[in-house]
Amino acid sequence: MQISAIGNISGLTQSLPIQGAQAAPQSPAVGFGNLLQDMVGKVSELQNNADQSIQSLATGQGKGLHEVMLAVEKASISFQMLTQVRNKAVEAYQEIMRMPV
Amino acid sequence: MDFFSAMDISASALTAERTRMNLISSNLANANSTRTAEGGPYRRKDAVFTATPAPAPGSFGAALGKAAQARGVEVSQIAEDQNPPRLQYEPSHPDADPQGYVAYPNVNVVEEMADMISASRSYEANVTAAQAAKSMALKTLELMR
Amino acid sequence: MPVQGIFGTTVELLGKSLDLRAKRHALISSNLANVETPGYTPSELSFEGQLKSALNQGGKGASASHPRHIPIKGASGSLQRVEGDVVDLGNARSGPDGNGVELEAEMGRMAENQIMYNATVQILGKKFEGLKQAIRGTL
Repeated sequence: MQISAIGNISGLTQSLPIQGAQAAPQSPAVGFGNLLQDMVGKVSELQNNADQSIQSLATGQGKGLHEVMLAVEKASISFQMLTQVRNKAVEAYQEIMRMPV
Repeated sequence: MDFFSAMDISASALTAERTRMNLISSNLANANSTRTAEGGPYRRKDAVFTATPAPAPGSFGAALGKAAQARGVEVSQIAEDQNPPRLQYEPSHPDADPQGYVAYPNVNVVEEMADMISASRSYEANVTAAQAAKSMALKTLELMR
Repeated sequence: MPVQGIFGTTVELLGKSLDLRAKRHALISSNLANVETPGYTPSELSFEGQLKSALNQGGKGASASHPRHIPIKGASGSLQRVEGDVVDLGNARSGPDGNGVELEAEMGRMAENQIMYNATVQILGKKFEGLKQAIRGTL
């Protein structure tokens, strides 16, 4: 068993295009932290988009109901994904901490 | 509770239209009645609609100021048509007057049919409005689920 | 802890627009009820412009007049003041009895209002669901 197998967590960052090129040389913890931060930024942006489209719907401008529905769904789904990613990361961390050295 | 005042308005319209339908039916049924209890031929009846302020839900004052803009409808009076009756020459009829003319009611059947169509169209429109109010109120309840 | 802060301007806006759409429905209902009344002028509630300017006022909304008052965040102050205007539609297409209500136009407006109301309720529900999910920490 090789302890360096823990380094394979960086494969997770490579599957998502955000951190693609930089994931490999960095240590797993920092890479994943940046990934999460990026995700949070994107989710926040999507939420703001959704809020903007809701406001434009309420004031009678904008492209209409479908624009709002799409924006709201995107924001909601990306938020759910972020939550799940965070939960899994926390779970994995706790799993690792539980391992007897 | 704004939907309940909207439903009251629609209900007032349904009542008014139903009254009008009753009058139309009575006119059609009596289109040939030459004799009535009051004497003389049947006289065509018409409903007079007026807009009313919607019933204020609860306290007056500020509430009245806003609710009064949404107005229901009521039948303020049932007017008898003042046009003279239609005279027809029929000397053998038991109700013929000394010159041989019978006074028939001044009911125009075609006009009554057109009124009936218009009344049922308004009735349907108000039923749709009441259903819309109900559906919106029920949808709001979903927020609490 | 300022609990009011977790509901942003959007929830406030959605709530206010529900309010206004309910009032609009009452006016449309009364137009429909009076479709046969002689001399009746239809009216409608116009609020989109007022909502827009209330939102644009945003940061300059209400401010605390006393240091111990909790300031109203963002546009909520000016949003709460939006009431909508009752506008007379005029009797341009009135018949001989002076009634200006166009049945088809009113039905169309009622359908649009109902759909927008239902959509607003759903979006509001979704917002609350998202908040609940964040609090719960999981789906």
